Amino acid sequence: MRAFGYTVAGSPAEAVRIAASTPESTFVAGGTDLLNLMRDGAEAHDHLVDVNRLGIDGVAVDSRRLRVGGSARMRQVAEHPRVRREFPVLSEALLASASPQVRNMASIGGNLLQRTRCGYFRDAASACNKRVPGSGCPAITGHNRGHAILGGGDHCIATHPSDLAVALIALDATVHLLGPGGERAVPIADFYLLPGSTPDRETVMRPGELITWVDVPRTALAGRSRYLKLRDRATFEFAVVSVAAALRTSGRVVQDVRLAFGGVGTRPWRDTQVEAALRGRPLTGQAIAEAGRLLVRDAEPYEGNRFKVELVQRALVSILSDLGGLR
Amino acid sequence: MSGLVGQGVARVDGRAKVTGAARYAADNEVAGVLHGFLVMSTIARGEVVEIDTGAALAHPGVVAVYTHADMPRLKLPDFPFNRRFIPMQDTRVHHHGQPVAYVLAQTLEQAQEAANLVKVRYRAEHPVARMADVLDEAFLPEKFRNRPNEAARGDAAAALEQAEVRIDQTYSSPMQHHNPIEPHTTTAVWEDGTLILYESTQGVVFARNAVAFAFGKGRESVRVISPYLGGGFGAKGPTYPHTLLTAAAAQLAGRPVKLVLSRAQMYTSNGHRAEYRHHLRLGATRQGMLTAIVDTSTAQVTRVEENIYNGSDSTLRLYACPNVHVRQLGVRLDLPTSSYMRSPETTAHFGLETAMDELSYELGIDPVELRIRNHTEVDQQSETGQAYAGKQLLECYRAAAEAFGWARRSPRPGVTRDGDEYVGWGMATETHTYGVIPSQVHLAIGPDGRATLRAATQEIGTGTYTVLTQVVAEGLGMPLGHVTTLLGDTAYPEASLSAGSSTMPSVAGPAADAARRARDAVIALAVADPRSPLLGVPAEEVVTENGHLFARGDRDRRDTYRNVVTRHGSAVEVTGRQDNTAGHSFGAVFLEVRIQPRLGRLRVTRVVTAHDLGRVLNRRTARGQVIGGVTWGIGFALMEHTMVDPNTARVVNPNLSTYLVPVCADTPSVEALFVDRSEPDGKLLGVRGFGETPGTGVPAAIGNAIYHAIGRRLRDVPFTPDKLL
Amino acid sequence: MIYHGSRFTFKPDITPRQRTEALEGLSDQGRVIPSVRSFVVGRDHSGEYEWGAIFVIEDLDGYREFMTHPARRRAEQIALPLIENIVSFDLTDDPDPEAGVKMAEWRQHDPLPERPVHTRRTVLKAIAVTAAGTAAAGTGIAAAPAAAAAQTAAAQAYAVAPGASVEVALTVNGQLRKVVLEPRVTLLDALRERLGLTGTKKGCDRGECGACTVLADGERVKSCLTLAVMRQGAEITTVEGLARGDELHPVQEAFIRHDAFQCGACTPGQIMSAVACIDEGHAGSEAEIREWMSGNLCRCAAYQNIVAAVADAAKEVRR
Repeated sequence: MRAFGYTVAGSPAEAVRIAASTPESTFVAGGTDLLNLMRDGAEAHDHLVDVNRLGIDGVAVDSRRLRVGGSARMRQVAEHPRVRREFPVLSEALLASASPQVRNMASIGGNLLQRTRCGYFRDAASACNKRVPGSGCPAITGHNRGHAILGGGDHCIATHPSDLAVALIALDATVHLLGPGGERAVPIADFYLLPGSTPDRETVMRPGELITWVDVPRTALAGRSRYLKLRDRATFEFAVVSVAAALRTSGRVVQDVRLAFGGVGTRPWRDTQVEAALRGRPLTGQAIAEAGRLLVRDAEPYEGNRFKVELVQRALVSILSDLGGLR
Repeated sequence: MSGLVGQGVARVDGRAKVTGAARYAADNEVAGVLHGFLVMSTIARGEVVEIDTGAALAHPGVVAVYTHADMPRLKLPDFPFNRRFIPMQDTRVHHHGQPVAYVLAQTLEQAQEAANLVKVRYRAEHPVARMADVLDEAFLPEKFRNRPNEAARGDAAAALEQAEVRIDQTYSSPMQHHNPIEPHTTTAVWEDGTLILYESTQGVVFARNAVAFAFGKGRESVRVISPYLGGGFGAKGPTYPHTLLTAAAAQLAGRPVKLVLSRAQMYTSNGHRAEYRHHLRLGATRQGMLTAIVDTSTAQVTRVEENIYNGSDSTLRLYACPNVHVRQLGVRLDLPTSSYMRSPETTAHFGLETAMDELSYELGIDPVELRIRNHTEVDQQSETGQAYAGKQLLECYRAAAEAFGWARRSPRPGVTRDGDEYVGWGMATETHTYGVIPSQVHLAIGPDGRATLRAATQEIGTGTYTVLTQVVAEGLGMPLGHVTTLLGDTAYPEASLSAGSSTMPSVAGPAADAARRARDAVIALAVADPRSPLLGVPAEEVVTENGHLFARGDRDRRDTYRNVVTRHGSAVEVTGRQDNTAGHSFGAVFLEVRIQPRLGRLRVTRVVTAHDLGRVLNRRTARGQVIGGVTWGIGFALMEHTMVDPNTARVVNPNLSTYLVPVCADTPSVEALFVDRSEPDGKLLGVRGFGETPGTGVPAAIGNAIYHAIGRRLRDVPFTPDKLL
Repeated sequence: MIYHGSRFTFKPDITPRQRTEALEGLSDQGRVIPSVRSFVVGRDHSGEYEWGAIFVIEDLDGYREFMTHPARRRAEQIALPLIENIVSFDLTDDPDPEAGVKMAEWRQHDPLPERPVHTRRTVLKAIAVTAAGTAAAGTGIAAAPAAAAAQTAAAQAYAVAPGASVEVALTVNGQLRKVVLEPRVTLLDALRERLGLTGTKKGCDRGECGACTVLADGERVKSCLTLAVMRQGAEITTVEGLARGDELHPVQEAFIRHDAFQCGACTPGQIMSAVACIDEGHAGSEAEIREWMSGNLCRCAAYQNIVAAVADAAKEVRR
């Protein structure tokens, strides 16, 4: 890693100001992805601004929402009794992530901003349109078992590794940002960008912006949610395919449903058409199967990840069957 | 004899390991040391055209950046230096991740960053990385370590033709990496023309020899020290270029140099298990007796090396079969050379044990019964029909089958369910060759009555310190705590490389021999010493126990090691030697898998093993090898796969997050049985090499269990969930 | 008011005349530069350094004048080549957060002549302190009395320029340890390469194997993913700190009893992780232990025994 400077900021405004006036700076909370990105040459920074003492590390629930600080720790959020009870998909997604040690260190903001595990991206000597725009995407003709079947294109097919992001998208979360231009709130559904022809741009965040809070609306739906993560080994692994689902039924009829998918899209994937196909209908195997086919209607599989087309449909069946009490 | 040998004595190096006191190679503090870091090639084939070191040299703290232009001329050592070239002796690039420059700096961080700043220009040639593309170029390589790559007995082609039933299948396994937790490390210190290496090695003697040869020095000018090794599994058996380069850098800089490979660098620096395809044809009678085996395998080799490390030993030896033809072919790819990786025979054995299972279903014969029918007491490759000395494999089948409950097995696949899980049972024979390397030990008993054993063999986690201490303590008749074993230093007598399951069969005998001699020497002193109560007692009437010497008929006539040696005035020192021969260990593994085919989820839920390893020297450490080996088998079968980009020949997952090794949650409880009917013959203790036998049958057993569970036959590892959908 | 100062030790081989000249040059800064209200150059009595110099400067403008004044440059040109170790600091009681930012800026642009670099590290400790913050450990100089300040008024408490080193104070295994290092140094490398604590192992240096696990303020963390500077003031426990003399920690004893290791490379990390795992209350069953210990790889695969050891130790360590 290059020799970088380091500043501890004392408030969000100060952190933003320091970052704005310090070239090649970035924010650091847990550092659990940042250090590897710098070591691997995927990113380079001259200055780190520590955002652990800004007062944005709390977890609170009020009548309207769950508010989680950008610098709150994954473990803190996962083990919060009200998160476990009222937003179980969040807790499950967090506990299925990383390792206990990393969950003690890593922040919510950092988790959302972590970058793809694609081996080509993380290898500084490899071509990669995300890291070096225009250099090519070796994954398309190379190893792509961990890559996307949805939302990709000629430029990039990398998936986003965050389980939390998938869960938050399913719960209609809002990401609050503070930047040199002030504060703004971005629905998480709009937060992540498709790679298109600019895979180096992953989120709507502007230079120098900081994630201060993430709000999740309190709904009955959120309380009936689960996370299913499929991996090649028992645990401590990024998702091969994952599903976050929230489901409310009345009798057998679906009153409302939220679905988000990991491991299959070039960003945490939500398809409202799939949800619409289930809403108002009885929850049957057939209905779920149709929804699954709808989900993969535009799938573009590659040599190594073809199985995901089938597996994500089955994962959908599994999680909705569980939530819907179908077995 | 006090009966220490065989007991599950707790490891004597336990305290050192659990307190962090055990010093591994990278833990040594050397005054004035500089930190080294390698710059690795980013192309897989071609030439280095130019190296711009300007920016690197300008980085604060950087002392030097060496290239091929600076390196001293080194001589290429023989095996076990298993590269056929030394990097940085010329501009040729043979594989991606080959050292092209060496950075030295005051701190590790400076060296790491400076390495990033070295700019290398290449003339790149297009590499060939995919075996499937060049299978038609497979060739029969030269023999390796005196073993030809083609072996035959009888007329396998004809016998196959005439067989009543045939199995003809291809099995495969991908490139895999050892990934010991401790990365390779070398600290080189030159002092007045002598070189000291704190080295992570499974063989201090071989490392010393290779380095001395490379630098054109006498062996006495090089000392290699490695008292603790953080995992080897074959990765640290050979000596590799980075060791030579570090010694060279230290020589050039006139300062000690410490190098620790990064995890990514280990994927191209220390060998790996070669990608492997196995075409296996079995011919048998309707009663299941094997009449023919034609075994043709193809493994990755390189453009400059062609050693085949994955031998079809079990095809040749395990089952009674009069007609066998084995060919071990190689295919040249622009990748680093492969090497031995824990239980190298697993790759071929996986195919054999799977094919046997396929045969059992084809014939409607129970898989265990099929093995029993083809069991042999005779070494099939021996021209004289030499029988194995005490092979208990049949008892292993019986004991493990019973403990597992195999009799309750339903013979039809796909019918056993538990909720939404399909349950499958599979078994396989386990076997592996072990080697022997002539070894010596030195044993000294001091005036304090304590014994110190010295040998230049290694502790790599298998329990060498503990078992040798037991052997000596029992042989002398001393308490365990009175014996200290010192290993891993070429200042000690030359002893076995700790690889190929060779440590125990090579060193236990010499240790026992040394203990016997030392005991005899002390007894001789006592019975001749007027100051000893044992004066005049016939030597064979003296009993040793707990550090005491007694007259057998009269226990009141007694002396102690301490007193005898003190009176003698100087330590009693002996050298121990004992020849032994290579051989095989055997066992059987039975396991249960549970599969949820909707999501392709598989769990290995129950494992029972029974092994015949000759004399069990220490129940705990032997069991450790079983649970370790079984887990390696699970990794081999279900998840391990080094991915190489087909266009650039670069490793795509040079880490521990996308290269998957088993985690704690992957492992079931293993019931490990031992069949020990050995006759400790006093000299060799009935000791065989064992470490690599457990786990050899696990991948096939898992595949066999999968077939039993869902009726699907998988022949290509890893068996990832997508293959189980 | 701005307090700019340094503490330093001369090289052992300089002459008394050289020392006098250096000290005179530093004093000249105080005499000559108008914005200096008062100053002292004299013996440092803390025992850590030999000499110290403090300049009390009126305000930000004065600070800028001071930093760019020729007298200062002259003083540094004379003194710095003769100095072996130096720590410098800047404090202010100005509550405006901008003040700290500006001071950091001017320090960065400070054109210093050759610094003594080779065998000893030159330390620049740069601290800007406001009413709400306190100085980082080691200076022995207290902040100006803290006014009640809202969180948002708290200015930066700590700033290190790129390429500079900083003194980090950690309590390691109960002992206060100070080490001077760059921000890019990980806690793991600080422990192993600078504090002589090699019990914690480096397996992958990327947070993927867990061999580097230590306790930071009681929580298990991966020290290879931790920058030492970010744990300023923390309590670190490593495997060397578990035993009390000859008496091993229950987890250590359980590991020996259950043969929960082979080569031992992952063992310190496993043990620290196990201590925390039990403390967290995640050792209630074998299945739970397996899941919650899976952040620690063991390639020798002694897992079965590790699980048994943790289960056993959990019984002994009363929660």
